[in-house]
Amino acid sequence: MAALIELRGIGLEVAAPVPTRILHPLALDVAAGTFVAVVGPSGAGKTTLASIVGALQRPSEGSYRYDGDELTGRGLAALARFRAQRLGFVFQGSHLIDERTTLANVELGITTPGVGRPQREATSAEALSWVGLGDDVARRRAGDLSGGERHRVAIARALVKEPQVVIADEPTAALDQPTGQAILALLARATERGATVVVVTHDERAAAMADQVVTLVDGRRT
Amino acid sequence: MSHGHRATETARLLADAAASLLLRPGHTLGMISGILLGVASAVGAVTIADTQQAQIDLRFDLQRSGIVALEATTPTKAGFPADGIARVAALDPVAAVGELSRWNDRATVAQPAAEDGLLAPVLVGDRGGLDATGTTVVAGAPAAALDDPAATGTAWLGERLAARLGFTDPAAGTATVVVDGVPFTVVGTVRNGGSFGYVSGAVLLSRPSAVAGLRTTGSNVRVMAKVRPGSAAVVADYMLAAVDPTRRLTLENVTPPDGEILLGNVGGDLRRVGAALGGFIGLVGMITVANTLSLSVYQRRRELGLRSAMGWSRRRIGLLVLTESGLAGAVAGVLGSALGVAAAALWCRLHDWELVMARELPLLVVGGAVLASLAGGLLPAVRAASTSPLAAMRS
Ligand SMILES: Nc1ncnc2c1ncn2[C@@H]1O[C@H](COP(=O)(O)OP(=O)(O)OP(=O)(O)O)[C@@H](O)[C@H]1O
Ligand SMILES: [Mg+2]
Repeated sequence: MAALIELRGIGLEVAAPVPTRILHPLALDVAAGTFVAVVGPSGAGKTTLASIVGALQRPSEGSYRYDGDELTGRGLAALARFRAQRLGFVFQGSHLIDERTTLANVELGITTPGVGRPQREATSAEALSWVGLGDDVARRRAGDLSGGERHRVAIARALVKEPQVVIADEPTAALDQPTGQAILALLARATERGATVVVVTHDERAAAMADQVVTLVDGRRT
Repeated sequence: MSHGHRATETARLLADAAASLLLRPGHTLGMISGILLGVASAVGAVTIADTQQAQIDLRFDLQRSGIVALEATTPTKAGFPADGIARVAALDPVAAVGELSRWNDRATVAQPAAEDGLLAPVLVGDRGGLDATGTTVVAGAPAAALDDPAATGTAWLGERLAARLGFTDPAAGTATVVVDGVPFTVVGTVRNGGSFGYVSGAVLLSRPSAVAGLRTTGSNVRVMAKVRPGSAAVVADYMLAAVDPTRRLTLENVTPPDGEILLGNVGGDLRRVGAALGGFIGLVGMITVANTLSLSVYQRRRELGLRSAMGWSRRRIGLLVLTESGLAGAVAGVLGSALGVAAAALWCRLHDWELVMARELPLLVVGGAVLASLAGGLLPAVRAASTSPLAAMRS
């Protein structure tokens, strides 16, 4: 079976302020429905790789095929559409809008046009309950939630549109052991719903859970 | 995108923008403060100007009836030529024409037995002058008696002056008044309830009486005409030639500027000042919106980056910020209008005026506020749209 994500010779070199190579050309195949852990020391290029896989930035070389389609060379608008249709993100900080309700934050993840408000709210509440948060939390101000709850909300926001791929950059870094464990378990469970999950992590347990571990050192895949 | 989708998306955009504004009320209020104040000043000033205009119209009602006044700068004993006056009187827009001169503004006036008198103006006039100024004879000899060249030594008293001097029956023709040491028989009383109110406090003599009795020549010799509004300038020109064809009197046109135009100018000026003030503050408000939104876009880099990462298009993100600015402008317009109207209403209460407001004003200023706010939000919106989706990952 062909991989969902197929990177060939993908690398990144930035010009400013001085020409620097951040990612040396690498190859990576990610099969649909698998759990992939990207590990490596700080500064190795893990976030950079995740942002290229997530189409947040364009590589300076190589080929990125997603489900057989070539992504490199596409414009910013096309990449935004691609992210809207296929990808979900979980960042190290949960990045919630504190003033809004939990439910409203999850709703932000719905990027399909033309979904009416009642349906957006119902889908969001469903996603929240999937990550273990009830109606009471849904109505609360996001700024009042605990760190663990915030991460759950962030995962619900990433999953609410049922993306094909979820990309998470150190989703457990700011959490204590048990909470981090629960978050990882949630992400692993997402694969059961058919999602492909790419997690950048320092957490060894994540690596242990993964179907595939990608190790980066100094911008090189080892 | 289908029609239904577009409506749903517009509703979502509006709700999203409204939430951004409403959930940070302090920030929003700071952002719209300038436009709000601008709208308030414009609405307040324009409304007060309109209200004041109504008041001015009311108070200057007489002024608007139109008076032409020519003053002789060369002293004359003979007065104005009767034929010239008659020709002016025959003009269509002229209701009445004649002399009402302020002969001496500070004459000593007293009853014969009194030790000291009062200072009062002495007026010299004829029937036409009385009619032109709206002066009426209250009691005693009729105004026509003023035009009798043979009748000298007689005087009419303004009714206020008569009361002050203590005349009990000034119309009986038996009393005497002493003006600057010269006695005159009092034959009646006069009154002016309009803009020539000083007549009620003065002594009125016919020209023959004044010339025969008083040693002074008149200081302020005027011929007046009451004309139809708007015709003052034309009548004044004609009158200059008709009353003084030889230019012996060296007449000077002292007709007040046409009432209608003058009043229109005052009200219009106030309005323009109000609008300019509001516009200027509104401009400052626009800069405030631009500043506040720019800062807010910077502070919300993570949120905007997140939206971008989640696949929101640049257009959609820019539109969000632009919608925020437009909504904020509408709020500023509504609140500012309310504030301005409240201020104007308070002003009117204090002055006991009835509030007059142009009906299209609130709509106009709310529209202006939205436009100003949108203009202020343009650059921040462009900045917001160009937020990199990486901003979410790298912060
Ligand atoms: N746009 C850029 N310009 C210059 N240097 C960059 C840029 N992006 C990343 N880098 C550098 O590339 C290296 C890899 O960065 P990256 O964030 O991918 O590392 P990481 O493996 O995620 O590290 P960490 O575990 O600390 O998050 C770092 O040294 C970083 O400073
Ligand atoms: Mg990183």
